[in-house]
Amino acid sequence: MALLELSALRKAFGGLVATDDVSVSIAPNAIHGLIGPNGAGKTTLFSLITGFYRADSGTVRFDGTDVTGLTTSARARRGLVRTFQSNLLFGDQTVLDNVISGALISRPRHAFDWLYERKADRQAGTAAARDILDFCRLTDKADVSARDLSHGQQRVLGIAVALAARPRLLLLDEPFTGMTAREKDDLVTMIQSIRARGTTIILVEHDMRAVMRLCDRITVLNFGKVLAEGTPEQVRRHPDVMAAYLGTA
Amino acid sequence: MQILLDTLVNAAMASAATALVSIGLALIFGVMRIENFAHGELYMVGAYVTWYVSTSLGMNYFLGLVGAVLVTALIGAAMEIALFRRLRSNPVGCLIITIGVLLVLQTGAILFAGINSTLLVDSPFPGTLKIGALNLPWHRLFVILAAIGLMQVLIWLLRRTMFGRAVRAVAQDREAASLQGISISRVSVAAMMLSAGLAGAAGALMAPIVRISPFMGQPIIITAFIVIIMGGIGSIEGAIIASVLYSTFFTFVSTYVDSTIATIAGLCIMLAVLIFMPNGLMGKAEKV
Amino acid sequence: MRSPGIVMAVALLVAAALLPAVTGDYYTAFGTEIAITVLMLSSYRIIVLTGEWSFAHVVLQGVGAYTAAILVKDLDWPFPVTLAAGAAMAALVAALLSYPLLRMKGFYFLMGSFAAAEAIRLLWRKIPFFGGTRGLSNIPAPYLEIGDFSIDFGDPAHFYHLSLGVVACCLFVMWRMEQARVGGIWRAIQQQDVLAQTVGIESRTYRRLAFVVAAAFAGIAGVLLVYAFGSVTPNRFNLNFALYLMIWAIVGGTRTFYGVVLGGVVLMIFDESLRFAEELRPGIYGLILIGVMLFWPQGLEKLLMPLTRLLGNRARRSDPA
Repeated sequence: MALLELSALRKAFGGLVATDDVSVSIAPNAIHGLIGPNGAGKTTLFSLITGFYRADSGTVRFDGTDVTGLTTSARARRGLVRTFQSNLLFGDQTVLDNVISGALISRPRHAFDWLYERKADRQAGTAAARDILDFCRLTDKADVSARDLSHGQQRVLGIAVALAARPRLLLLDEPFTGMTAREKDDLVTMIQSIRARGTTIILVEHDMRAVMRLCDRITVLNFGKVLAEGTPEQVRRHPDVMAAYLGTA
Repeated sequence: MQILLDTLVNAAMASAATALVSIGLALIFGVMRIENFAHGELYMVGAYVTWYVSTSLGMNYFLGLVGAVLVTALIGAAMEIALFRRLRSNPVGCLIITIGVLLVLQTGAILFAGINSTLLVDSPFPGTLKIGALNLPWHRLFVILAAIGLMQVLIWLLRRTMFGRAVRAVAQDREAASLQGISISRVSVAAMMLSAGLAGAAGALMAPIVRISPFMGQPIIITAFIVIIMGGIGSIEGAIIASVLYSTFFTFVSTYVDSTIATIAGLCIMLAVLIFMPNGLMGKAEKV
Repeated sequence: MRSPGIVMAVALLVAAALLPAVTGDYYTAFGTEIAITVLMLSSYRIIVLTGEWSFAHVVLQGVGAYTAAILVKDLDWPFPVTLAAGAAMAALVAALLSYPLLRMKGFYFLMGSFAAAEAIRLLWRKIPFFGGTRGLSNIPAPYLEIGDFSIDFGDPAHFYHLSLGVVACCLFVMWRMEQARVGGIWRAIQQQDVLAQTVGIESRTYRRLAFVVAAAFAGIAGVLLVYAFGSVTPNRFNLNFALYLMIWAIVGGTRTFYGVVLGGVVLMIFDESLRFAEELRPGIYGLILIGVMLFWPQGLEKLLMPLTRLLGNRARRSDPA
């Protein structure tokens, strides 16, 4: 059964239809790419999946449950977590604290947790955060303030914070933008490792090499509609896709 | 019947004065994105200057009016140059600093003329116009006409001059405007002077009618905020329309019921607008 | 949990408790006022922690005050019950207000909080049940009687100790909340609301919690106020007082827990020295506010930061995590 099922999603802003009857199925544990020329509606679709926008019609089903009416945070609590293009972080906090903040909601509860934190819980939380930092290769930056990181490192930190929220489905919003070649290679490896650990991934991205390397399936959007869908090879050869990106001769 | 007509005239006058004050507040928000809590005190300063010039110094009322506009415009310029300019990156800070200015001006007035003194300003248009059974006080008519006149001047300035175009450009998109070579500093100073001058003029116009006290600005600023929220926070047209609607409502309820009830109702209206129509009557915040 | 900060706090508390021994009734009563103000400021800070400024806080204190006043005058209820009732009533009013108000943020929330609060205050002025413009007076002080043992809290020193105890407990609870999970959530919301939602934090719920909890403490401050003065009037909760609360919080600094406490104590003592020039007070506060915003925006707490960093580092080195 698909982990995420989008059915006939539609969203219009005034007269402009940003998402037009989009239906997509995301298989569990897949890396699913979402591409399309600028203005194709990728960001809107992203926002519809994560709850930042409410669809005008259509449904979003996550793991069999209809989440169309749920808020962003409710979806996140079920395991639907996104990252941001714009490097949204808890700016005043250190790298370690950022990741700890990401895990706040999933901390074990007890009757008086509004008054104090059990030492064992705090230590476990810090250890788990450090694990994530290790996984993301940010260990030596743990006590650095988040805003002092380089752009590429901030991107990775954004993913680390998202991982702290224990996603079952992770939506990556153009993670490769602005990274050096070396950082991109590291990120590809990291994304593959995240999938290997059991997380499903949706990747919105312009960098075609990364998309082709990583994705099992790709959905191509244009003018808010699904233009094509298939494996990287199928999509690469698809005439409509080539026309959309390059323009018809 | 007489009460009804009196109330109508009072409503029109209140609309006029409120519009003058609220337009200034809307202008500042539109151009500088600052909510100026001290705006009511500028109205108060206008009244005080008018009193000082026309009663204390014994000069002509109209000199008092001009003086009021000049003094408040200067205070407005000073606020921009000495204060807001240093806090460009901190909009919350600007709001807070205007609270400081509010308190300083209030105390300044207390020091200037005492806290309980009765300050009277004679109107240059005493008496009433009698048309049949109607009694229309001349000064109230003067306030209405003067306010309309000043608003026309402002609208002309904004729509038909280069200066006005610059102001509207800054209100719409600050960065683009500065890229076009428009000096944000100069536009800001000008906008502050204009806005403060309008408030001062309103104070001068109302000086013969209302009780002049250091605290007279407080209900004014509350009304002005209610009005610009109703009208759409950066919109001048919205401010004018909302002024008329609100002031008429308020005057009638005040007269026929009770002024405290009127205030409570006004606050509830503001709350309702904030909840259901936060963009106000005219929508987007950018319109100047 | 053993840290130098706690030692300092306990030491200060003990020192504060000695106040009646070194001074007369007048300054002891003033000490009570400072304690109440500190409670107001610390609870106000909870709202600021989530990233909002409110003008409703003093009126919520008023809700607690009027509740206690009415329960004591009409029903003769004892102190601990009126204390709880005042807190509960303030929390209830805040909870109701939070539904419309929390749809707004920033300036709109500030204006909305003012509108709702001022409407309530004007109703107190209008409705005879609340005493109208005069308010309610002749509220007797608490009286404790257990067998042969009795304390008359009408005595300023006794009431001071009672207030100090109540305020200390409240501060402790607030401090603990800030260190616990909910404090971390509030900070996350303030720093980056959108990101917080993305990791599962329902901001509206936690902002509501902050608003209600802050109100409960304001309610307690209101109850203490009523007993301290023996009366309650609507003007005690007007816009001027809301502005002063804001100014004290800003001058003290809201980043740390102790910042507002410091600001409150310093400014109230400064305030007392202004008694000869009561009329100048708003202007002087205005100048202080302008000065702080221009030259010292972090507030007074910045003065103590090097000291706390020193103490904090010593604590951290012994922390295994």
